[in-house]
Amino acid sequence: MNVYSGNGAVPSTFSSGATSNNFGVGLVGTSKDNLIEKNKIGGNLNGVLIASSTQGGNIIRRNLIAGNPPVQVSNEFGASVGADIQDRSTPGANTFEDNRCLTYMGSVEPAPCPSISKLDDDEDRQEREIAAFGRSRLALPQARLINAVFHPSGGLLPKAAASARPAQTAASDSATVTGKVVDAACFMLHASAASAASHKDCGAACLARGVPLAIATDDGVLYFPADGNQRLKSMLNARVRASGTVVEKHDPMELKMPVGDKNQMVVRVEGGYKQITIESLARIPAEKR
Amino acid sequence: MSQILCRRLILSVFTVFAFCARVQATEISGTISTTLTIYDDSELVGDVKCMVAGNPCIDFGASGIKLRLNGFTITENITGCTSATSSQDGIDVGDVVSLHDVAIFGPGLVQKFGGFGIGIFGSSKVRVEGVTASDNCFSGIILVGSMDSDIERNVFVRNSSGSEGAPCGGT
Repeated sequence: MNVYSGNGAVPSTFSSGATSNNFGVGLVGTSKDNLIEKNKIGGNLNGVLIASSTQGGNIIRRNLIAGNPPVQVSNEFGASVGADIQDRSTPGANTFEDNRCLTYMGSVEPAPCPSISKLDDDEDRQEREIAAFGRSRLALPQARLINAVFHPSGGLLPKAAASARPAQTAASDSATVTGKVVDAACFMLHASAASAASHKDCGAACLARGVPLAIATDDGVLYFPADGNQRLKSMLNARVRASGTVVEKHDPMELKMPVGDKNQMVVRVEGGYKQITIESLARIPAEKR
Repeated sequence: MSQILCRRLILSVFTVFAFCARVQATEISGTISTTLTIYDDSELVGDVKCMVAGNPCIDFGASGIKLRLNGFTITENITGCTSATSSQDGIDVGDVVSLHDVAIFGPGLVQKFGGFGIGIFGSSKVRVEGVTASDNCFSGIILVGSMDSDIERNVFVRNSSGSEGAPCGGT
């Protein structure tokens, strides 16, 4: 990303109603097939200037182009002195995509400006969110999960978690599990947030994108249904009692969690986990909790 | 603008034969009074003050080399933008012969030149990264007849203050 700010001056010969040819980013001469992407362009006489002599094939996309020209300049010399995008090229010769801009001078229909939407498509923001999410959520909880809850050896389970184990935990034994249906990926990163009622809408969105559900016991042990989300999906955030066969799985498992519209975070669970083949499942009414 | 460029090219060719010294040194600082042409990887080790009348301050003389600004400043401190100062660029690439695979790395500031901050002419695969070009009479960086170049993460502020009708600006 380049930053363009305050470039250009009105020439001494400028007459009212004329247009300046100074710019933040200029495609002049026979320029063609250039990519102008992810720049911040503000306070110039024109933000992006495309001269009539250009040869086309230029792509101008995902730029923030605003405040061109500065308002005092347009007040003094007239609104025609410049624009966020001044396009003197043949309509259709160049491509404008997902720019955020306010003013356009040119012949393209519909005009690429004003456009102030597309915030959710901001890849930079999504990348920052993913990085921040990874830093703040992933490191410590992941260590807790791998070492304490999901370790295959019962002897290494913390005392509280051990007390929450069902009556029989031997491989392929029947058991009854009581807990809350949660979005498993979120639960492993931040258990209290995933269990909160306020997370229900978020969890539903994750569920719609295939995030696995699980039954979380009061002491934080997760039981993943052997048949996927089919039986639990109507019970997100509900408290349930499930009976069936519980087995300890020892293979690593990857849970995928959507972040934004286009990205996803993968949480890898190592050291094994519990899987339950549900034979009976019942929602526990609120008054009996 | 084209007239200005033509005049620039003629003057630059003259400069090569008359004034430029071949420089192997990699470290640059202090005052430059005749165009410094670099043929090897070079870097600034201090601020540079340019006093080169009618010609660029630093000129690339070979392909495949890099100039690192290392956070220092290259300043001409021009007092008035006129057509006579239009050839006084900060850094030029390819104004004599076409070059390829050269790079200018910031951080660093190229400011107050009578011409362009950085001029890239008829060259290919030129990378300019992390440089600030400010208060130059014409464009901060200009690419003329160049291709496959990468201009990334630079800042262009208050350039083209004296272009007087020539299509100039940030880049």
